[in-house]
Amino acid sequence: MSMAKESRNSEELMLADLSHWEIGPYHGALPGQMCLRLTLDGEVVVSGKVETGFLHRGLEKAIEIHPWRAAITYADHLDPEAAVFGELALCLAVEQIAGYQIPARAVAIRAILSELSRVSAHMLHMVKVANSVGAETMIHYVLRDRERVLDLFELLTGARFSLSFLRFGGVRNDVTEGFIERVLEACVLIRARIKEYNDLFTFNRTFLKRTSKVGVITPELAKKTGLTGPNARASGLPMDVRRAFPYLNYPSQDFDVPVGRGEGGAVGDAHDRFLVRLREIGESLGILRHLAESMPAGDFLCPGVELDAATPETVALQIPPGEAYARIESSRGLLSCHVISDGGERPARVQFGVPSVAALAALPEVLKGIWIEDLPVVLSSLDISLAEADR
Amino acid sequence: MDANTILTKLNRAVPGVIFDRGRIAGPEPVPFGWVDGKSLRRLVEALRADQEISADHLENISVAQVGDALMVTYFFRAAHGCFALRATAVPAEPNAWVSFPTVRDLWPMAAPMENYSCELFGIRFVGADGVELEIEASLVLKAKDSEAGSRGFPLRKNFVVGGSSS
Repeated sequence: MSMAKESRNSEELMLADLSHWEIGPYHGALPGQMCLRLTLDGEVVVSGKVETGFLHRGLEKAIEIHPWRAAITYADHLDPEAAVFGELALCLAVEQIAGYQIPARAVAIRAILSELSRVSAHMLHMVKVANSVGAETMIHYVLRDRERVLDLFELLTGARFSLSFLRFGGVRNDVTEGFIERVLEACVLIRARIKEYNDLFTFNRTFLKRTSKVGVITPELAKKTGLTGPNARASGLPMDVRRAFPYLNYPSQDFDVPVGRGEGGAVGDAHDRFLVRLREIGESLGILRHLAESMPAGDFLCPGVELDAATPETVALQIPPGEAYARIESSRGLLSCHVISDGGERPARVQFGVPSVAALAALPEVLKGIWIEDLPVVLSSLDISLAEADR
Repeated sequence: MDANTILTKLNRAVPGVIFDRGRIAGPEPVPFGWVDGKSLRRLVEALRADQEISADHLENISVAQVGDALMVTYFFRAAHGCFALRATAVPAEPNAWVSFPTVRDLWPMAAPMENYSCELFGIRFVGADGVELEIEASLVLKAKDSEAGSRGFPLRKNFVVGGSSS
């Protein structure tokens, strides 16, 4: 925003030609189904309101009215772009109630899937940001390489999206033949590509011009709105659930938590949010390599736990009465799951606390003062999932 | 200061407000205190004002229906660990609204979580001045007010989901 605009007093603003825009619920610049009500002074956003709820699917209700085993599939649909995180949060909570001891091999497989999902989701974020600034080459390069990650999902689970691979007590299958080797190969390839993305894009003059000092989230705003994950880390808050509240085998992993340093111009701008995710891909590749090289032998499912055989004779899974709360670091931030069981064949209550809600809450503040042409950049850089926010 | 010490300290700040304690299981178990709903507002104000506890982050508000009661659990992240506060309210009739004190003025991140609880569980959040907060109706509330709606609150146990399920 120009200095002239900044110095306008409220009286001048009242006299100015303010226009009101309503964007959505379906629009290519939006991260999903939502409605933005903007007030603009010329080309500058003066205020913005967000309406959500268009993608409400009754996910938490659906979990309550279906058997325990089906809950995993619904949790998988929480965020289709990073499906495994919903499953993992649910499984960790339910296993605490049931008292399952998860075999080390299953823990390692879950961690590999989590980090692959993080890499995949962050790459998709890069594609969205590239799309918002019109960097077509970058879109093709990143999508090409992301296919390698989706190939790995397919090799392990049979699906490229909506994996439904975790089970209460472990995972559905052991790793398939050649999977570990291909994970290692993919790590080498994507690490080399990160350098290519950096050379091509990160400090490219045009990209810097479109993202630096755009959509700045100060640490104070991040704290106020409860932002977590890469968005908060880009604003200089180094909280990572994998470090703060370790789960799976993360305590034995050696990784850094990248934070925004304002290399594009301001700490917490769209460029920092891009860069933090790019660096997190590098950290995830390091974790993946270590996990693949130190894969423990043993079972992939807790002894005594039945896999879901879909026959009429299948005994419905019952989880003893109790409650548990699990939190994990999803690709978008802190994902929590509160599960209550009354001992029946269905969950009494499953509640997800999702990171995109905080990003949506921060949006009206972030939008204030941006140029309208920067709106797609700001929205894509926040990596909001309406699917998980609306549930 | 561990979570149990925090709960003890809060009980001293507002005497007798925490009438029971428990622990929610998890990879990182969460100690919680059962709070008298009428004193919840005084308690959270005392909590917010305590610099030593430094409960800056309200991580989650989880609502569940247990029997007839709506049970609201607030998950906090403080400087030295996590803890939760829990209170219940019973609606006068199955589809009646219940009231809870708002905490969004103390923790702004609570606003979207309170909105969600309002729409899907029928909880009206009341400000420190005793005035009910206006929630801008989103799709669920709009549908509820429509002719096809008025079937109750979606996440309450008495809400019947259309279609078939197995």
